[in-house]
Amino acid sequence: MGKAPLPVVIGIVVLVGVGAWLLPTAQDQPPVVDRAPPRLEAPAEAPDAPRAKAGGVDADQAEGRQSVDQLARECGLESVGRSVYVSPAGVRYRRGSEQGHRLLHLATHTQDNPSRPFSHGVFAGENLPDAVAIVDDAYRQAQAGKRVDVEREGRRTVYRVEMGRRVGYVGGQRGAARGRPAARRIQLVMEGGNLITAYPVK
Amino acid sequence: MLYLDCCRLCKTGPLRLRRCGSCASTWIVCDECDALWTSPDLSASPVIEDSATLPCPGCGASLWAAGSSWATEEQARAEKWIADAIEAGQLDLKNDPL
Repeated sequence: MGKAPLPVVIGIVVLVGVGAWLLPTAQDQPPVVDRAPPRLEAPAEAPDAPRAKAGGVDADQAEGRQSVDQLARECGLESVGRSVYVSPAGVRYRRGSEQGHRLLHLATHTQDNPSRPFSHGVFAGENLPDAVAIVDDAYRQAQAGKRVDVEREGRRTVYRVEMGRRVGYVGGQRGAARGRPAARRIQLVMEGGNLITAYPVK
Repeated sequence: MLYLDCCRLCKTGPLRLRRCGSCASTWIVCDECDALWTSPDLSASPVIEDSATLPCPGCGASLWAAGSSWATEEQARAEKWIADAIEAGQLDLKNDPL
């Protein structure tokens, strides 16, 4: 193939250079306009987005309250206020504890927890309605002053009520070391009529 | 989980170290009856305030609120009065047996 004459080569180089200079760069591009219509509905919630709040109440809290409501009904408790329930004997169950509600905390005593370093009382029947009924029996007896030891510290009152029957067993590490002995007493930790915790003790 | 001793009030619950999710201060709390101590003298009367929220003695935020948690050993030792008490042999950190 023969060589192109020098003027032709120069012409091609000039044309390519001018063409490149005339082409728009990225910076020269006009901004991309989103022509989609504005969204009228709330965007779908991402799976890991924080839970929506309704009326200042976290959705998780609302769900938790619903489950406590259901448990309270199953235990024959009467709702007397927001997250406050009262038993037939007058024991009040309110918010509190690591579990979020005293009723949920009481439920931790319907089964053994072998990892507890000390004792862990477990209610006979190993279900929450039975536990609530036993607590009611113990509270009535404590109020009547029958076979009960009472210790007070500030607003707290600790009742140890001799129930005269097996009301559970002692679990946890100490219970396991003693062969999970039967418990015939109930310990109630109260603030007035509000239950803080209750469990069977030897 | 860490614990220090058995609660002298309920005689059942382990005393643990609760770290506030709001101000990061750490307190001794019974995980059974919620009694709270602000000093290593566990023979002193516990602080018993609002049993529903268990307010942090440092800032008043609930120690049961999301963000608050049981302290790790590192977090416990980051709290000066607790670290000093451990150093002095007043408090003894132990782990749950299982």
